[in-house]
Amino acid sequence: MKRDGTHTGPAEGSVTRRRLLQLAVTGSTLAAAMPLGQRSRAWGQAPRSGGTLKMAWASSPRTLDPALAIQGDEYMITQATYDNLTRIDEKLQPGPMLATQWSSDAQARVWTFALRKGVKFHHGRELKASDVVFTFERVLDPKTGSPGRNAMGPIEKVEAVDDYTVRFRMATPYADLPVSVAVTFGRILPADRADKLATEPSGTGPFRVVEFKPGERTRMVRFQDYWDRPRPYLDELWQVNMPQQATQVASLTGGDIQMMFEVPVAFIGALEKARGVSVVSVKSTSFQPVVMATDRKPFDDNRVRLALKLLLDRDAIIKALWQGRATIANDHPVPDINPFYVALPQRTPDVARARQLLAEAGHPQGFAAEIWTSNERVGMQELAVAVQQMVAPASIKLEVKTVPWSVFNTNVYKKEGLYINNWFGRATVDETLYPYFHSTGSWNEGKYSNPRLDKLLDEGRSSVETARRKEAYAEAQKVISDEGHYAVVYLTQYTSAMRANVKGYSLHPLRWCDFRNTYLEA
Amino acid sequence: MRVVAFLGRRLVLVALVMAIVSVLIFGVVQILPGDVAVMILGTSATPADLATLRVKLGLNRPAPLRYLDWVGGTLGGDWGISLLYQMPVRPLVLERLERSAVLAGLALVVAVPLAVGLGVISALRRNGLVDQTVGLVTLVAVSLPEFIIGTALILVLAFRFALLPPASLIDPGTSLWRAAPRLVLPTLTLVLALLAHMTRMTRASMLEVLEQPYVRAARLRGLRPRRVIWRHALRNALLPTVGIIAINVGYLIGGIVVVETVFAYPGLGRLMVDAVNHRDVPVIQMAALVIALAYALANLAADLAYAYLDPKIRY
Repeated sequence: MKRDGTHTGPAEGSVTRRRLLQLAVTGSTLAAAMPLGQRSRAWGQAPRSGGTLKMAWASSPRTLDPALAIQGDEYMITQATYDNLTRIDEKLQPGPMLATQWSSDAQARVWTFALRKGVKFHHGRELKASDVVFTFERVLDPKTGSPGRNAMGPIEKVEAVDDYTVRFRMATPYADLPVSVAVTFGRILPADRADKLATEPSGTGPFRVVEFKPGERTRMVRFQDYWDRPRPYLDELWQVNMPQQATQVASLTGGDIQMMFEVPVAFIGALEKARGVSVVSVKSTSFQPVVMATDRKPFDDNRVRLALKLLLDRDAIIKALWQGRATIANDHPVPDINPFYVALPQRTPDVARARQLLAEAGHPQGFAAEIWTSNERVGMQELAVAVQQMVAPASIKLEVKTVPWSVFNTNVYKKEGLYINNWFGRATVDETLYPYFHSTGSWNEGKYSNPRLDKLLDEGRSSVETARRKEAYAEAQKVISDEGHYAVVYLTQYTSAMRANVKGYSLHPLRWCDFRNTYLEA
Repeated sequence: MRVVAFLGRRLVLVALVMAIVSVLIFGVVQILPGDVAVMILGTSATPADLATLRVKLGLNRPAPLRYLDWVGGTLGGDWGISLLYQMPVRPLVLERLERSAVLAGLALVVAVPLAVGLGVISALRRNGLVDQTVGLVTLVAVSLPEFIIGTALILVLAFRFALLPPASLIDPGTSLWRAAPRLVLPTLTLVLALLAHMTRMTRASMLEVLEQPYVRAARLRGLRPRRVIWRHALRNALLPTVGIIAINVGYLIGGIVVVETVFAYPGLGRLMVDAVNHRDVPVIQMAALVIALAYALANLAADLAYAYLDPKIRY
């Protein structure tokens, strides 16, 4: 209002900037008040296409060949650039991917998979059954030297029935094939690119590799002809190598990177307080067993093994090592998300009973031994020290011996009598138990041999009736818990951190990274 | 002419040193525990798979033959294939070497003038505030391991106050100007580690020189103090410092390994660490050889600097 009384403002009835601003503020306040999910549906927001997502890893990939990849960082790249016949969800259940449906005969010895039509490889050719045959024959060929040769079940022969149908013949009945073909070794490769797999990978996956610099970074860009359009939503997906966790944390809070693969327990508190960052956890299937060799004293006697299991205060260990962020376990590695898991009464520490068992076994004064471990995997060394302290009341004197990971694998694994190991979880209950506890299992570190257990495990893998399998595996878990060569105190938790605008990504208990649904919110 | 002959003799010595070093490197790498095949295939591999891989990698041939193969190949330009990455070693090592050289070069370019300057000031204003502060700070910096200095810098300057980027993630195609901020923290860490020795040496040596009769004579002749320092004193004071710089090049190479790891800088040091962890023998050997050569050449440069600074030292 001017001093002479004339009106200087806008004419009545017009929409001024101020009014517009008021409307906008009111509108967005209302919108913010609505819960996120409802807001998306109410406004019809689809995932936004575009953007680059950079994920930091402490380790570095060595190869892009899915048959030879054994590290988590390598799995991330092959999972983005290839597809499998099936996919496994967070409940370890199989779902269609390159295969639209599958069935087996009554004995689960012959499996037939129907392939999706119109799927393109990065180099343009359509996926055919011959590619599936090539993939599996290659992994199964001893000359390839793939560690996955025995990982997908007793496959005897793979054949293409026609261009879009594949048949698997199993050497022995095997009910879990739809789950086991979803593991990392089952990535479907193009038959005409055998020699270029390591340098110019071509898969059917949502991203393709444009730059591979091990020790530095790997860059992937969207594959425009991906069969599951409109996925993927990201323009680019990077994997960057950052050995130091502090650097990763600072890069994440600063926005240099959008995700950290794994957050060590020590940094969880700081990241939870940081703005613009969300921290998520999931129960994982990884475990760190105390391994006891059953082919020599003193652990050849089950009373001694059981005594050690009874001496461990599991809650205290979880609190001390992981600040409570781990799942208590019962001396077998089957996670509770596995459909065949059975809840046994949780073993609790009982020093008196342990002492009694030791006396019965001929060790009333305890005994002395070495416990081996490595300092290059989080938790291994700490667990060895914890065990050393906890068995002391029973007069068991342990000396902790620590070696680097490379030395551990050559000198300790399967060689020493008492040590801590570090294992990632497996997708099928068969793979979780058979290689470790069957007398012929390739990862049976304790040389454990129990004919009754062998029978249960054989029955579990070859039967097709779920009820019978559940019975067999329930019994097996009890036997392993009471008599096996592993003391499993916990299954680890998997914690990851990402920028708050990263959507459409969920953690997988097997620590697999899937970016098919991921997008960056504006 | 004499310089050329001197240089020629020195280069022959360098070649001899490299020959001996190559034998040592090869020998040490052979004794390393741990098996390359197990590292590549993992613990779930069967003995048959491991044996197949060992033959494929040529690990079953006797050591002296493998040594001669290696030397012959290296001199001919074929530096082998990385066991780990299945890529040729030469482009890998050279690319990483270039990056580490940039970082080391930057550190030296900043550290040397800074150290000499601080040393001279400390000597001139002996026991003053500057002298004592510089002494204390450099002592603390040299006592702390680089990964602590580096991590502390990240936590303070990048995490707590987002002033500088923590990691050396340089997008392809970025100009040097835009990438420069990413090099500040790693360079700063290295400079802090290097300062102490060079500053102290310069200071001590400067103090000694300033006591010399010819310096007093120059002052008494009426020359301006600045001319006395620059023209007469410093040139002689720098002699021991040059020696320290040469030694610090070796120290720098070691420190670079740590700094590259902390700041995710993809240089030769990190390549070395990854190669050792995975027993990637061809890369370990070539990286060690290249580093040894760098050190030998740095010492050669130091000798030349001596000869330049002191006319009496002409071999």
